[in-house]
Amino acid sequence: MPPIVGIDLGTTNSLVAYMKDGAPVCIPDERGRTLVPSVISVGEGGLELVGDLARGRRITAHDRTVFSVKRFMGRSLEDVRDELHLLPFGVRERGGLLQIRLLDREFTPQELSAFILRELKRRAEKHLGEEVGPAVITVPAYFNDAQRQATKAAGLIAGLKVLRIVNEPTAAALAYGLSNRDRGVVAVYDFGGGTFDISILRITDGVFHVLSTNGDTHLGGDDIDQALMDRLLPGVPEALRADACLLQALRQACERAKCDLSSAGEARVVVSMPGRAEIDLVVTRRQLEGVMRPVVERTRTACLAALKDAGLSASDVDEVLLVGGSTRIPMVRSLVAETFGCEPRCELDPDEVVALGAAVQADILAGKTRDMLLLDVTPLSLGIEGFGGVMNVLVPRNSTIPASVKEAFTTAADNQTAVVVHVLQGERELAAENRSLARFELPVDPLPSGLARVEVEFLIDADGILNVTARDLRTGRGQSVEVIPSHGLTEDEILGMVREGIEHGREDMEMRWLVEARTEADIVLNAARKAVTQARAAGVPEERLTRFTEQIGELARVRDGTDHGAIRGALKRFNAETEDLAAKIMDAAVKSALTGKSLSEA
Amino acid sequence: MTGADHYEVLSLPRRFRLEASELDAAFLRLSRELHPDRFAGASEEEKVGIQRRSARVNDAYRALRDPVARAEHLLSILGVTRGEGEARCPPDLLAEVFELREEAAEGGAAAREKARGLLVSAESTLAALLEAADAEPDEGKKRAILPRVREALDRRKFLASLVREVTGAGRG
Repeated sequence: MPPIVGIDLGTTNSLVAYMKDGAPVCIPDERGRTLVPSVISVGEGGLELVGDLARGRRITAHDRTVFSVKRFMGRSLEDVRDELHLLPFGVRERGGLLQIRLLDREFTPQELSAFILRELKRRAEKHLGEEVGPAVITVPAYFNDAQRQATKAAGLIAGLKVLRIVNEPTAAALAYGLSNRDRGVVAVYDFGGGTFDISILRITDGVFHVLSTNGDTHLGGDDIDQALMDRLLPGVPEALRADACLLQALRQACERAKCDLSSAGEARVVVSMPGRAEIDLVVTRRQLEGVMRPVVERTRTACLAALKDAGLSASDVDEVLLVGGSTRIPMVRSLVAETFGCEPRCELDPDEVVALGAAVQADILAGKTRDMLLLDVTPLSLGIEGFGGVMNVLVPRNSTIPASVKEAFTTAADNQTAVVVHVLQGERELAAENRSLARFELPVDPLPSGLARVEVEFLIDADGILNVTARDLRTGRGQSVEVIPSHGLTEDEILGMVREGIEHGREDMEMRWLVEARTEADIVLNAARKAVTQARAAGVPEERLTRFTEQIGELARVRDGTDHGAIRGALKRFNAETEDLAAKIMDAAVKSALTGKSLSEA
Repeated sequence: MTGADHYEVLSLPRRFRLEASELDAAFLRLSRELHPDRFAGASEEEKVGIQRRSARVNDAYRALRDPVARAEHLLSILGVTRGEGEARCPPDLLAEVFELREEAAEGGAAAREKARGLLVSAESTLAALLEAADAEPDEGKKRAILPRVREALDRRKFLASLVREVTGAGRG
């Protein structure tokens, strides 16, 4: 039986893990890195690059590089309109589906996510030395039906057999639970790059029973970066503020500063684009905390709502687990400690813990881990539109899944030939204020009003995805109802993309290796050339740069060749030979260019 | 299991009052046995049935966990029909509720307290009746209590919505 992998498809980073001798491990690349940046870039020859290589192109090829695709999964243009101005790539809606433009091609978020999943699959196959098919993929607990379906579709397009969609916080609880599975109440605080979840679980002899969950699928570290950027923008010359490329660089610099400020009291935000713009600002931790407070406070509100739904108070919680990169921020930790009245646990790497938990869930599904079981809930109430445009709740939020309900429908007028059912998800009283999941028509025989009777079964499966079946109670005739989310792919569309994906899988590996090697060389060359420019500007004498520029010329020459092995070799030599040299040049450059202005001066 | 009521699904005695611990224990025991994770290797055709069977356990747990929904369910099993639509105001409370609504409309905190008080007392009446019904060994005598349970349940339902109404009005 092929190994079942666990995949964390994140907003910022993605990971793949598997169970090795009874313990979950994340699969690293050749350099030992387990995180794959969730970035996709169209490279040379139209080849899609994923991960570190694509991330390295966010500035140099900003018009053909996408990130944070997860924010678009299962969404409509209306849903994401507010954030479009922040993105350097074009997004539009066609036939109810979002399309993201990359150079001269358009992709759905599902297809873009599939590129990331395919990269993870490749990585796992290389590491394990065998083909990988079945997988468990995690999603934010607060993902709605459309977002879950979109994730499952992405898995299929990538050639994976998606055995289960698992909620991220509960997966994390499983990873922690391997060492502590007896009993107690656990809160999982999951604050990632783009989403926030809080889940409250009761653990009883290996059964992880989720009592409630709450969150926000558009709240994460990205929002902190944005808040910091908004604070810094007034300090950037007016003329530069519309420069998409510069804004990208500034965003990355803000993100870096945010990370630095988790351990340092102050950090620099440096953007250097020789000949175009130089930004060099200092930000203190207190300033960062000032701008991020509103973002963090929103997580507290969700925590309190989850506790209330679980029928518990903060003092009932025995343990709080921290998940997601944003929980590295000291202010976030102190908010969690304050909200729950206990010191949170964070022994497992917050970036890896979800993928590790997904691997545990994969092992449970493989029948190997038999003493653990996860009982999860649906995060949002499921209902149908009733008379007067109200939402009639059929399955309340926080119901354990699978969950089902049967509802009988009849006709209101004589000779009506169909009954329309409008399925909704959300907590508002008015139908129009909730998310429309699907609208379908049940055909009935023309009869006097009230005589036709159709029974509809709504089943939310263990993935949190809705399945609908209908039965004509008069004739006993069954009918299957395909629930296509209002902004989702049909089965045929998915199958078409799966076929394309298979074609794609047969791509020329030599070509991929060459493009990957060239891209990496480009990233290195770009940084090296920039270093030379900066060193010159800082007054480093030309003779000290000669050897370095020669090395750059040599690497550039090999890069233009078609032998990927030679490029890899040249890169290795370049890195080894120039490491020391670069450090010396940079040292000199930094010493003579300590021009950091503080934020308050800006 | 098709057609079984929620008590049968969880193999629990048909009582109005269930301890949270006995309900949880039954739910966890069946979940360990029937959750779809236990059958990940099943064929696609089998999977639908497996999801349904697990859903029945979860649906039963969800219904029986809430004492009011549980009482409604048991009454319907016992053939005591449920009142249609919104519960009406019990006749003995008509005058009091009328006054209370007026007070609440003027933003009176006292009205909210009064409504809560009425609800609390209705809940304790209901609880006493449920206990009496569970404790009654004689089927005939038990049947005689059920209409009073129905009435107490409707009263509670009405008062709960009244509390929601006046506290909502107080905020607005």
